[in-house]
Amino acid sequence: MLHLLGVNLPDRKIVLVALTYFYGIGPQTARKVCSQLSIHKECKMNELSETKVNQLSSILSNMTLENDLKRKISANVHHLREIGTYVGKRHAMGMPVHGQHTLNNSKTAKKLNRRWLRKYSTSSRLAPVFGILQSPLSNKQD
Amino acid sequence: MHGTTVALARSVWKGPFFVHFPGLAESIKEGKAIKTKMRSCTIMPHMVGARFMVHNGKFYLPVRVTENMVGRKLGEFSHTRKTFSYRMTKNK
Repeated sequence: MLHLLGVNLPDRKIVLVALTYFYGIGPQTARKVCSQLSIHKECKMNELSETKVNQLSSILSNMTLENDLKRKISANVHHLREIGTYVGKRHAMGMPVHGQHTLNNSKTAKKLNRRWLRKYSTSSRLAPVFGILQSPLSNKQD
Repeated sequence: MHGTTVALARSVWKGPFFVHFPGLAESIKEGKAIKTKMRSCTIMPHMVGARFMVHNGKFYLPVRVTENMVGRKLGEFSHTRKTFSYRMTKNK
């Protein structure tokens, strides 16, 4: 197991596939990173040399991934919601944002859209509000 | 990731689309609302503080422009759809 930036990358996986374990890296970005480091298509994680791993980690550390990316998306959605746009409203309702039909389906939006306003609330303005909301509970536990 | 949005974006040389509102200075000073149907007008920095009544197809809805809104369109703040709410009886 290779531990990179808080994600475990399994040894037996192909590098292209293993990179997609990161939140924020799909097949496309994985292919770009691999071609940048001239890693061939079928190279596996345990075949990577130490220098390659170091180069890989330096490239990945410059990208916005995992929690940073989630925070960034969440901040964007929060901003849209706060200024009162239609897009922000749709996010809050858990409905599709780009004008899709909602008679049936729209499963993905229902599953995903509302979570950006719920979790990962790191914007400094909301932090005190959550502090107030949480304080009675913490007092009870004490 | 946003390849298509960039490809379909408006040409840079044109600049953002916006309209000159005659009563803008008055609106910022005195808070007089500007009635408009230009939903596609981009909110520019000089419009901050103005009050608009933006048409949504049926009514003119109030929109107060703040700094955060710069770069968005006026229409984004005047919602066109009514939220559905279920009622048990038809008579009420």
